[in-house]
Amino acid sequence: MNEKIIAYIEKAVDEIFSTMIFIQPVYEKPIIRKKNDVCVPKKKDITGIVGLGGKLTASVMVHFEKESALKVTSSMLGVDYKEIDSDVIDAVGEVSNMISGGIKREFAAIGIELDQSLPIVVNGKDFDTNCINIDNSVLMPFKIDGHNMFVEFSFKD
Amino acid sequence: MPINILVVDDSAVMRKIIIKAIKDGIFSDASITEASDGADGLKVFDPNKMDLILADWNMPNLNGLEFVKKVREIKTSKKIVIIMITTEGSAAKMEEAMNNEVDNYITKPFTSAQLEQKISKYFL
Repeated sequence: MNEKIIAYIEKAVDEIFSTMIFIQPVYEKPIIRKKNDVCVPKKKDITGIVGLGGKLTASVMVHFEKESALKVTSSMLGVDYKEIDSDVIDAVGEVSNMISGGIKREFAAIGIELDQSLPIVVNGKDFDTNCINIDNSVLMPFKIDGHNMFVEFSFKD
Repeated sequence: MPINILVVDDSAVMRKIIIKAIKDGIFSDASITEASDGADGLKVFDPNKMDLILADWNMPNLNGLEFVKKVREIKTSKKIVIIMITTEGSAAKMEEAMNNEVDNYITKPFTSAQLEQKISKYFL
């Protein structure tokens, strides 16, 4: 299942970055978590969170460093953003929503229909996010112009 | 003749992207009204003025499909083209949309060309 989820995340990220963001993200080695692993990536300033429910319960979290969030928003809107503002927060929510939607469509294709929550965005310093099940959790790191973006998927049957 | 478009999406960023895609293309003279969710969409919706509605599905207050149902209850709205722009892309969800008189849909993420192509199908 973890390999499938990694492929779903890669496809969803590829689709968004090639159609609406126009930056080539650099893929790094996915981390399949084990018991007692830390859930949270350390370097993050803003996180979009989407819940999935139905035949399984899952969370999709997309964590950005400030610089990667600004780069993604600037590229999406064709405007140069220097600080996290309402547009950046909205863009992080929408990117998280689209990544989650891409993953959801892949699950639907194998007969697992899921419903998706509206995205929630958290930003600030030193905040924690907890995935819903460390035993079924994948963390995929990407670099956006040298800065971190992580997609984290966790699920319970 | 310029077309009148209502864009309904709870993401201001997505509305900006959609509007830019329309304004930068062959429908640059379109008149565009924005709404931030289905309930807001019903407030600004004018069946005698609108030609096209571009609506998201997952929105607070009144979601896109409920919004479409309310719009289609208005007799004079039957001729208005409704395209959903949504992350919902499964066959089951699309069938549900079509059964509720949605004319077409675009799955997010999308390119400006894909959006223009969908609109062109009805307005060229």
